[in-house]
Amino acid sequence: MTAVLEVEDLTVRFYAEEGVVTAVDGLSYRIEAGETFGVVGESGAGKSVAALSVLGLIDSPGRIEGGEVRFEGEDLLSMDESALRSVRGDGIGTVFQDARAALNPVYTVGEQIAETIEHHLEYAPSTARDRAIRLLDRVGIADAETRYSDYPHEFSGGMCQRAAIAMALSCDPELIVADEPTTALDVTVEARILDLLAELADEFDVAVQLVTHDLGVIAGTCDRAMVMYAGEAVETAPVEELYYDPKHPYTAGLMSAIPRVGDDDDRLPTIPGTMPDPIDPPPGCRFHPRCPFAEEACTRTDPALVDPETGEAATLDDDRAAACLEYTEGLSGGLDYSVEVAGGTGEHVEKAIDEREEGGSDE
Amino acid sequence: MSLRRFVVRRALSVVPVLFGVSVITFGLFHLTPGDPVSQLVALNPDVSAAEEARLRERWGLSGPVWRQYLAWLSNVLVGDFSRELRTGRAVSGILWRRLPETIVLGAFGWVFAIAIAIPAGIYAAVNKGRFGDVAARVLALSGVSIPNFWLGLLLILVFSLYLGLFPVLPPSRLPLYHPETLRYLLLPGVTIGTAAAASVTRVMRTSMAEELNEEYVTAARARGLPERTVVFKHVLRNSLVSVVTLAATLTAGIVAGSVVVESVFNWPGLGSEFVRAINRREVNVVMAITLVTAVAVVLANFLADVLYAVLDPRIRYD
Amino acid sequence: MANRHEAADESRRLDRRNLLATIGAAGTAGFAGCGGQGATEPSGSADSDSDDGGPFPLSVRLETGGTDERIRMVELIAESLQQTGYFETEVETYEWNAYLDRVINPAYQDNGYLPAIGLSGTFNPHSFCNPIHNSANVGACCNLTGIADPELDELLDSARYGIEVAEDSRLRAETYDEIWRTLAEERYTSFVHFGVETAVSNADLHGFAMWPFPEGVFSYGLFSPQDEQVAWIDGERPAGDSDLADLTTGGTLTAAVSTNPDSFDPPHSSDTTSTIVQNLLFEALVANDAEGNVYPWLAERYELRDVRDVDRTVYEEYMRPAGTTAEGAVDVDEQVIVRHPEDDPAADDEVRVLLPEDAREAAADGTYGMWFRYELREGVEFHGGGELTAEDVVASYEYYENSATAPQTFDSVLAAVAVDEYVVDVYAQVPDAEAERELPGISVLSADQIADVEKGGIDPREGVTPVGTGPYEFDEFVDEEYLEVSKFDGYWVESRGVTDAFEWFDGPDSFPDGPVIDAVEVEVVPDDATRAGALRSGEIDLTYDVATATLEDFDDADGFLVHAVEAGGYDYLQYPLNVEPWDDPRLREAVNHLIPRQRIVDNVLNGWAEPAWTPIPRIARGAGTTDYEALEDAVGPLNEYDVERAEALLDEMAAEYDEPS
Repeated sequence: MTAVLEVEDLTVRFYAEEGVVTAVDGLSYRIEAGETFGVVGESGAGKSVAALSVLGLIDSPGRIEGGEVRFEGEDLLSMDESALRSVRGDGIGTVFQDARAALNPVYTVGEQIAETIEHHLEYAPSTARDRAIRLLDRVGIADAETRYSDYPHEFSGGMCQRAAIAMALSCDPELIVADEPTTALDVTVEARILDLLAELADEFDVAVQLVTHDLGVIAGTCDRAMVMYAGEAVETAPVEELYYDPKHPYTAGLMSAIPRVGDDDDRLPTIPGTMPDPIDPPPGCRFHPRCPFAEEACTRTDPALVDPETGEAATLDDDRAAACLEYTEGLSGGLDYSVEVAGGTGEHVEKAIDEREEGGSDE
Repeated sequence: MSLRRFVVRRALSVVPVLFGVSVITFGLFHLTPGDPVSQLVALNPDVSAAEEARLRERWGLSGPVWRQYLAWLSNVLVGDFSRELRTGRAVSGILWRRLPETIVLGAFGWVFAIAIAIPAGIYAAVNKGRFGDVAARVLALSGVSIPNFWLGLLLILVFSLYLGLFPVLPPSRLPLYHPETLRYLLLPGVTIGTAAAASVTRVMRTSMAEELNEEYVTAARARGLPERTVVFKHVLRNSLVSVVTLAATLTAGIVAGSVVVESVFNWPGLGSEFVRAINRREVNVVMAITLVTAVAVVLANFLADVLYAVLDPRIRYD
Repeated sequence: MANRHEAADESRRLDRRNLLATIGAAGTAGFAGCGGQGATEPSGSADSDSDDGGPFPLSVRLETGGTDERIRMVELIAESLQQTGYFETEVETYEWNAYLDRVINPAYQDNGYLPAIGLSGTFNPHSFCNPIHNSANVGACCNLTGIADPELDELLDSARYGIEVAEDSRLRAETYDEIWRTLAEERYTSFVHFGVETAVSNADLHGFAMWPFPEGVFSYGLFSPQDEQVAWIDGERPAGDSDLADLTTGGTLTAAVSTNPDSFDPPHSSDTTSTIVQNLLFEALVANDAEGNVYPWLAERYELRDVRDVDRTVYEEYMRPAGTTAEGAVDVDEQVIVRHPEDDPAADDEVRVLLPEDAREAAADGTYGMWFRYELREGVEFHGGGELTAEDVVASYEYYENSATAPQTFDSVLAAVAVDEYVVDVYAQVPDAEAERELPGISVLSADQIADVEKGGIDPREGVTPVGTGPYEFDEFVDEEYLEVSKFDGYWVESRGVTDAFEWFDGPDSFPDGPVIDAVEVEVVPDDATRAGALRSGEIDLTYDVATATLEDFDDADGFLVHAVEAGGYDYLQYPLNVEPWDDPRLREAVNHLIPRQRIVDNVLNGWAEPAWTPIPRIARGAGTTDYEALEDAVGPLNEYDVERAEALLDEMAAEYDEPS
């Protein structure tokens, strides 16, 4: 398995009047070919900025200040503009949150898809048109040939997103970066879009970086996921482990905040407090003001992303990593939370944890 | 709906507007005290009362206003704009001769304005905040502030008298489409177009700067399209809607500007005729030119509507 | 060449043409609307206030319009009055058309305002006194304030009409001198300045000279053997001291005018520009030189055969009754030659009038004021063919009937009769010292053309090419743009040779037999700045009507010549003598002394005018006075700017005011 995308130590700052905002701080992760990788976190965590900077789409006052973004081995950040442009749309496709806004209202949907095809694949207009129609059809748009000549305002929200997906897939990319693709859609449409995405990722054998704030979305579609907080990655894990065995207090908090069917509680548990001020983050661990397990050490040291088993710095190849002092120097109180699975596949879960414990190293 | 249906419907809605324009034009002139015949009589005090009454009949100035209006309108519709008081010559002849001159002058001004303004506006928007943007905006402000007669005279002074590049008087023996005549139109065209260019530049810039912040621009870039395509194919078309609005209103401004510019450059168009007719109280001529101008503005707006629909498919649903 | 349109002012009807001619030539409208410039509002009517200083400070309202320069002149006068402290002045200005109406407004007889007007006089000294002072012109142009001085009226009439003055020019001059003395005493009006006709040409135009009236600005300069005047184009040498010996033939003169020549039909036009171009195409029986002397032109010779001591009542037996209209006009289709002096169309329902046919009958019967016989030359060609005969002359006179210029023509002409193929008799209604100049004052047109058109129909825009006998013939006219005329090959003076054609000619042999410039292009350029610019760039060679400030620039510049000649235009102020306290001649004299004539000429007109120290300009000096210098000495001091003298007079009046009446 080769990594399609390797982001190493990415740092992005915004120079605003009020001060300097470090939106992304030393972020590292990898995406394997064909895998669906989720990036999850609250608003303001830096997920979208990170996604956009992969393609170098950060405009002033933002600046990509450090790190490497290796796509199929080549660092995108040090490429010149024209090389980068040939990767965009061709090697890496993008799906935006507001699908209709991402389409130019004065050109037909089909034209815009065909345009990309003509540009990157250098097809003749009629061939590009045919391919675009086929794509539209493939993404589930009925009557694709007529719909080709429709304008974005004649498509529903869901159809726009399908078209956007078709556009992202049009040149057979290796990676699709989807930035909150279903946030603007209603739930039933969302489900179908996600299914579609999963199907297509499989069929076209394309990797997907799925950015979202919605844990439910991650659960349904991703193979692995990364949790971001205040511009940093706080945990990385394969999805099942993330859900059944979260290693970072923030992840646990997120999980518990999800409303569940059949819940008896009157109030939803929340993580107290809000995201820190991006211009002036708290010293030490950025989560410590909100962490129920925070100790004095947490105010001094910003924990690095480590392998929770070994406590050693996590590398890109590690599947499992978390950024908490518990796993390095250890906390006196420890992390005192547990995951209860209501009904259903309790066995399955225990089995997964056992497997892991057996496979992992001792503390 | 389709573009064609849209155009047809818009065209039909122009008709009542034109009708209203004719009523207002006619009404304005009949509300002012005195009429052409009293003017004539003032010049020739030996005109008897009987003759005066006869003249009124002949000029269609007797009877209730609505009947006069209908008579006037029915004449206008067949191209008869009555006659000049002083000389008895047909006003339509004057219109025929001078309208093309003003149209060509206006077209020059318009083309100049657009040719300067759109690139300048795009340049300023794309370089927003930088020197190019500031320079463009300063130039635009100057263009709008300079009075056009001053600019015209200045251009004549510099380019005709000092540099000798253009004649002071238009080449009157040559037909309108002759290259020498068209070349002469450069200076008056620039004069007329400058203020228009300034306004259009500003609107183009603002419009484009706004559009550049839209999501589809980022999306287009994310698709790897070259910046040139993004700006000129995607953004420009969206930005032009405001410009088209402005350009349509510019028509009236250009017609008004032509009054001064034609006097300064001795250009035999409707503008200078308008001034002359006003000075001589030639009511029929003034009315005819007013009507023609109003019609031109209405048509310009109609064209703007059509252009909107062409530019932005969302508008066709109106 | 004859300037037949230096129209007579002694018409008893509205002499609109004069007014329009002056105003038209002097430039178009001044300000729009009313501007209350100057001092505070007068309190109510312009009658005197009952204040401490007697009638002073007196509220004075001056009214004027027309040109910027006249308005500024009036403002200067108002300021001068204001500064003495004896007056509270206000200036009211009107746009051109409104001004025109106000000028014949009878309200001035009793509203107490001071109108300021511009008029244009001619070689005839009568034009500088009669229209303004004769009571017959009350309510018409231009006795606005209702001057009614019977003795003055008699003097005026006797200076022009009557056997004695018709035959004795010295007597005539003496009578005028008496008139000037009377006017100086009474001071009914104050003349401010006489105008100067100017034109600017570039250095290609040689030998050009100005005619004192705008109508002849092009025609006179091109070819006038009566003054040995000819102009030519020479691009090689700059004009300066041009000598006849250096004359070169050929070339095209490009001239510019400020308004469109609206008409090519001499009797049916009234604007200056039309007349300017008409003078290139048409000629008259006689011609004038720059001093007003009369020479036979189309007529080879003429003589005054008889004078009768009659007045207009003598035609009574030939007159017919005619109805009148409510407005006081005579309701008849034909031209009224004479209206019975005792009948008043305003008051009577019926008046007696002499119509053309009856006039001819009267003349044939020997009832006339004067009888001139004109012997035409043979072989004078019209443009396009045909020979000039008496028939053409008579037809021309008829064509002038019921035209715009009819009043000026038929206030002196009784009838024109063809005696022979080349002999025309023209009769004057009454013995008139001006008849020699007035009677033949029409353009001679072709009888054939007259027969082909309706009145006023000589119009190239309607497809009728004007046909005359003049040195240039019509080529092309594009309305509002340009006119082209070119030398007429069959021009009669050229065919004959100038020395043979004119007995009176005593110039050098080298003097050409016709104009030497091949063609004249007249461009219509209404905008003053553009016209000056075109002259500067060389696109035109000659123009007139240049603003005085620009004249200075051209005067200073190399390569341009400014031509100026004292002319007949004059600006004057008229006193409302029917309204107290203006009936007191001391007040009028005082105000006259407060008019800063020299300052006005220097500041308002940049020196391009002549202060009116005397009541007549140069052109009228021939017939208007026996001894100009003596006249200057006599009346000059009365027109000087003298604040002390004025105040002395005003004080005198103030002192008397308190005495009970």
